[in-house]
Amino acid sequence: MPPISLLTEQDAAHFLRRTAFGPTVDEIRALVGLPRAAVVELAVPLVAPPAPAFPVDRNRTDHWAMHTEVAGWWVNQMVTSPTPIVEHLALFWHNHFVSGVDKVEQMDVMWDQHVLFRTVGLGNFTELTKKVSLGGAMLRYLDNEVNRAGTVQENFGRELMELFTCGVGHYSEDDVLAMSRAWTGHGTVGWNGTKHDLTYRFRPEHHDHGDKTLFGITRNWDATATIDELCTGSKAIPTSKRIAKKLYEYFIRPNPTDATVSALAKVFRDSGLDMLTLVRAVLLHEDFWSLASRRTIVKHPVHYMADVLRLTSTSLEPGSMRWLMTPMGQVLFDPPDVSGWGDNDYWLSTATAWGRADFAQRIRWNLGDAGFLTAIEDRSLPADQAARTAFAEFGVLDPSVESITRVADQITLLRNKHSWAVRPNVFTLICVSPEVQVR
Amino acid sequence: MIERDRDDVMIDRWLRDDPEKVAAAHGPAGIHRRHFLQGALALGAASMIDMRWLTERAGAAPLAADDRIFVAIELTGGNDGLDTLIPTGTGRYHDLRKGLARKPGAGRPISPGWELHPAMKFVSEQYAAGNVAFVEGVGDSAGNRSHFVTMARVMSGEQTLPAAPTGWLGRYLDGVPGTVLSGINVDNGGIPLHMKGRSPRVTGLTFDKRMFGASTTNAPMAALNDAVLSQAQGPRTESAMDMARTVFGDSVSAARQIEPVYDVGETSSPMAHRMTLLANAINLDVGGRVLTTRLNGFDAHQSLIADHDRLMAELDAGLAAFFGKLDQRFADRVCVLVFSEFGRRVGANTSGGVDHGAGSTWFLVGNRVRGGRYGTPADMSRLDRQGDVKIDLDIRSVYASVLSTWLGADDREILGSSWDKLDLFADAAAPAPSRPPSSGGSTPTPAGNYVDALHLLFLHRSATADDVAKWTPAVKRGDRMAVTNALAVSDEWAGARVNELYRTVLGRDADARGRAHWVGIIAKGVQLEKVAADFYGSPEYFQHNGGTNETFVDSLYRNILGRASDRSGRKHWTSVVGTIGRTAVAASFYASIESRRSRVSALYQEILGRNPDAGGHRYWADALLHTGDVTLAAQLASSEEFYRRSQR
Repeated sequence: MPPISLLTEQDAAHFLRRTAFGPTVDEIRALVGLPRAAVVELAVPLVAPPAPAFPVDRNRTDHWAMHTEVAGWWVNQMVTSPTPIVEHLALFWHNHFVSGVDKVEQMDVMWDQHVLFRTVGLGNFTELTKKVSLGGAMLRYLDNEVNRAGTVQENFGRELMELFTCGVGHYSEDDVLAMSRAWTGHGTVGWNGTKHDLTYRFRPEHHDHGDKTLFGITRNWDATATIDELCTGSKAIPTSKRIAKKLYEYFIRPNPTDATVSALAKVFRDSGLDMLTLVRAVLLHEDFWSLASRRTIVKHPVHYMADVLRLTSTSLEPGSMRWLMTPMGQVLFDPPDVSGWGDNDYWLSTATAWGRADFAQRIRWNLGDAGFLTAIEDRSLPADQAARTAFAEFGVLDPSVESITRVADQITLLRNKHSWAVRPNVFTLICVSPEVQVR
Repeated sequence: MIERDRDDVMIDRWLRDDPEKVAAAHGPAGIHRRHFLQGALALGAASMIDMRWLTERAGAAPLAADDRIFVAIELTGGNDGLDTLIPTGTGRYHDLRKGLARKPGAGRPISPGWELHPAMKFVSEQYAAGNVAFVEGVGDSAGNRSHFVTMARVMSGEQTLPAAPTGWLGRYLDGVPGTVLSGINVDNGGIPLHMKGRSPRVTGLTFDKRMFGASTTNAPMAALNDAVLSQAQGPRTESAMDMARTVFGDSVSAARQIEPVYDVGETSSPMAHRMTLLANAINLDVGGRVLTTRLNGFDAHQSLIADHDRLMAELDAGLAAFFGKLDQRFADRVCVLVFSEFGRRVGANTSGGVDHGAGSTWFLVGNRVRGGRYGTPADMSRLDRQGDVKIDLDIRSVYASVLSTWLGADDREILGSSWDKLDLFADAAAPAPSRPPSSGGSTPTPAGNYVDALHLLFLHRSATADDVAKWTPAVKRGDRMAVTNALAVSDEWAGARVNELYRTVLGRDADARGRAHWVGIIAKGVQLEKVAADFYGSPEYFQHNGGTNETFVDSLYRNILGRASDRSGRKHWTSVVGTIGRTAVAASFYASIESRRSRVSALYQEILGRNPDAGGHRYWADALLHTGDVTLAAQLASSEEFYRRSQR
C-alpha cells in the first residue's frame, strides 16, 4: 500500500491547470493538503451531468450566426462550468470524432453531436462510437449518406478505423472496402421538401446484403456490428490502446511508453470501455503527478481564452469571440479537417502567436471592472514584487526568473516614463508568457 | 551615436543572462558584438534593435543575388491527375470515367491525345513557352490511400513510417543561413509539416493581415513589443515552455519585417490573393527562400467536374497573379511546384466523383524550368489492383532534383537516401549560383538586358556574362539584326526547337541520335516548318493518334490549327492522305492561310506582347510561305519595340 500523497501548492496548481480553466490562487490553495484520490473524486463526476439545452432557437436557419453563438456559448461554459472536466472531455471528443460545420452546414445537427460528447462521452465508448457514427453530423461530414451498394463511398469506412478506433496498421485496404460496404444504405432522410434533413435513415435497397470479409471474418457485416468488432472484438486491444494513449496525451504529456498505454488500456477494457474509469485512471496515474509532466502541453487556444476570460471576469460578445478565435487557429465546431487540431508545436507559429497576443490586447481594455492587476499600480511596491503579484493574479505561483525579470523591467521602464500603460502592458506580457500559454 | 549606445545597453543586458555569450563577447576583440552591429546596420538603422535577434540567428540578411527561391503549392485532398493532364485521346479513359471524361478538344492541347484542363489558360501558355514541366505517374510509392498518412509522408520526404516530425523543406532550411522569414507559409497561420525543421526558420502568415508586434514608434506599444521580442532569447529546446516562449519573440521580429506584404490591392480570387502575398514576400527581399501555400477542396468524392473546374481556374488565376506580381529581378530565380498527396481512381463512382487513388500529375512552373513531360503518362491498360494510375515515379525523385539542381543542396542528406534525378531545369549544368561572378553583373546594362531577353526568347535560357560581353558591341552599334540572326540559326536554337518538336508532337524526349539528325537537317537550312511536317508525318505520330487516316487528320486539326475538324475539310484531307502522304498533308496544314495567320499572331504575342496590326498581319502571313517563322521572329526581336520591352 503506497503512502497517501497529499497535494502541495505546486501539485494543486498542476491538477487545476489540467482539469479546470483559469484557476485562481484561492482555488489552488483550497486543494493543498488533500489526497490525490480526493481531488480526482472532486473533479470527476460520478455520472454525466444532464445536457444543457440548445442555446439558440432550433427553428432558426441562419447557421453561420448560430455557429458563432454556440461557439461563444461553449467558451463561456468552460469559464463558468461547475464541472470543467466535462468541458475538457467534450473538447477531447470534438477533436476525436471530428465533424465540422463547414461541411455539415446545420448547427442544430452539430449541437446534437456535441450533446453526445458531453453525455455518452462520459459513458461507454462503444455506445458513443455507434451514436456518433449514426448521427446526422457524421453521416454528412464523412459522406456516408451517399454510400450505397454498388457505388461504395470509402470516406467514413476508412476514417472509422484510421481515426476513430484501431488506427493505421490494423486494417488492410481490402478491409476499407469491406467496412465501407457494411455501411452502405445507412444514410439520412435527405431532401424533405424544405431542407436537407440529416435525420438518420436506413434504406435496405441501398445496403449491400452480400457477404464481406472484414478482418478475415466473412459474413454479412452490417454497420454497428463492425463497431462492436472494432471496440470489443478482434480489434479491442488496438482500439482501447489508441483511446488510452490519446487521453493520456490530453491530460498528462506526449509520448507515453507502450507499457503504460497497455496498462491503461487494460483498465479501460476491464471496465467495459467506461470513459470515466479511464479518466480516473489517467488522473491518478503516477505519470500525471510526476514533475516531468508539469507544463508539458501547450494550451489549446480556447483553453487559453477561457483561462483569461475567467481570471479577468470578462464576457465577450460571441461575434468578438469568433473574431479572436480564428487567428489563433481554432474555431470550435469548425476544425480544419477530419484529423482535427494537432497539439503542442501545432499551435505555435508566428501567426498564431500574433493571434494569441491580439486576444490579450483586446482583453486588456476590460480590466477595469474586475480590478485585475490594480495592485501593481502602487508605485511603492518594488518592481519585482509587483511582477510576482501580477503573476499570482494569473494563478501562476512559480514564474521563472526570466519571466519575473521581463515583467519587472517593463514595470520599471513605464514607471520611469510615468506612462499610463503599466497595467495593460503587464497584462499582455504575462498573457504571452510561457507560464500562461502552457499547462 | 545615440542608436549605438542604446544597442550596446541592449546587448549587455542580453549577455547578462548567458555566461557562454558573455565569454564569447568579451573574448578576443569582441568579434560577436561587432558582428551584430554590422548585421543590424546593413539592415537599416530604423529597426536596428529588432533585427539583432534575427541577424544573430541568421548570420545573413536578404538573399544573395543568385540564390534560388522555391515555391510549393499543396492541392489538399488528393488532386485528380487525370483531370489535370487529361488523356482525352485514350478510349479506355472514356470507358472508365464515363460521364466524367472530358471529350477530345475540350481541354488545351499539350501533345497528341493529351490535353490540359480547360481552365488552365496561364499554365498552358507557360507550357507553350517551355516553362512547365509535368511530372506524371508520381506518388509516394510506399504511401497508402489515407489523406493524413500519405500527406504526412509526402511532406516529410523521408521513408520512415510513421512520418518524420520534420519536412523536406524544413530540413533544407535548417541547412542554409536564415531567419524566421526564410520560410513563409500563407494559410491560416499554421506551419505545414513540409516546412517544419529543427530551427526557427518559418513564419506562418494569415491571408488577412493580423500581426502583433510590428510597432516600433508608439511609445508604450513599442516598449511592450520590445519586451515580447526579448522572449526570443535563451535556450531553444523542444520543451513546450521553450517553444511557447520563443515563438512570441520570433513573431515580433517577423511582424516588423513582413508588414509590407499585405499591400495586395485588388485580386481576382482568394488564391490569387494568397499567391500575390507570396510574390510580395519575395519582392520584399527579406530572405524568403521557400514559400508555400495551399488550395483546399480536391477530395472529389462527389461532383468532380464542377468542383475541379472551379479549383483549376482558381489555381491558374493564382499562378498568373503570382508571376504577374513577381519582380523581374526574381523571375529567373523562382520555381513553383504544384503537388498533392495522391491522385484519384480512374473509374467514376456514382456520386459524380472519384475516390482516393495512387499516381498523380505534379507540375513545375518557372522561367528556368525545362518544359516538357517527365515520368510515365497515365497508362489505362496498366492500372493497379484497385483501378488506380500506377506510381512509376517516387516523389523523392522530384525532391532530389529540386534540392540538388535548383537549390544546390545535399539531397541525400535531406532525404535520407539517394534518388534518381530528373532533368527538370533548363540550366541543369550550372546549378545555383548560375551566373559567374565575372558578370560584374550586379548592374545590368540596357544592352545586357536586351541580349538576355534575346537568349530567353530563342534559347530559353538567360544570357551568361560571356554572352553579354560578346553581343554588347553589336547592340551598341545598333546592329540588332546581327544578334537576332546569329541566335536564331545557332545549333543551340535548333536543338531547343527539336526538343520542343519531340515533346509537343511525339510526347516524348528526344533520343540523342534523333536529335543530332534533325539539328543537322536544320543546320543545312531546311525550314523548321518542313521539319515539323516530317514529325507529324512520322509513323510514330500516326500510331499515337489512333492509327487511322481519320484520327490522323483530326489530330492535325487539333494540334496545328487548334480546333476541331469541319466535316468537308475532314473528308477532303482523309481522302488525300493515301495519295500525297501524311507528311505532305501535314505540310499543307502548315502552309494553310489559317495556320500562317495564327502563327503570325502567336509570334507577335510572344515577342511584342500584342496582336499584329492589319497590314503586318497580311504581309507576314504571305511572307511566311517563303521565309519561315524564324525570319519573322528575328525581325520582330530586332525591332525597337522589343528592345524597349526588354528594358522592363
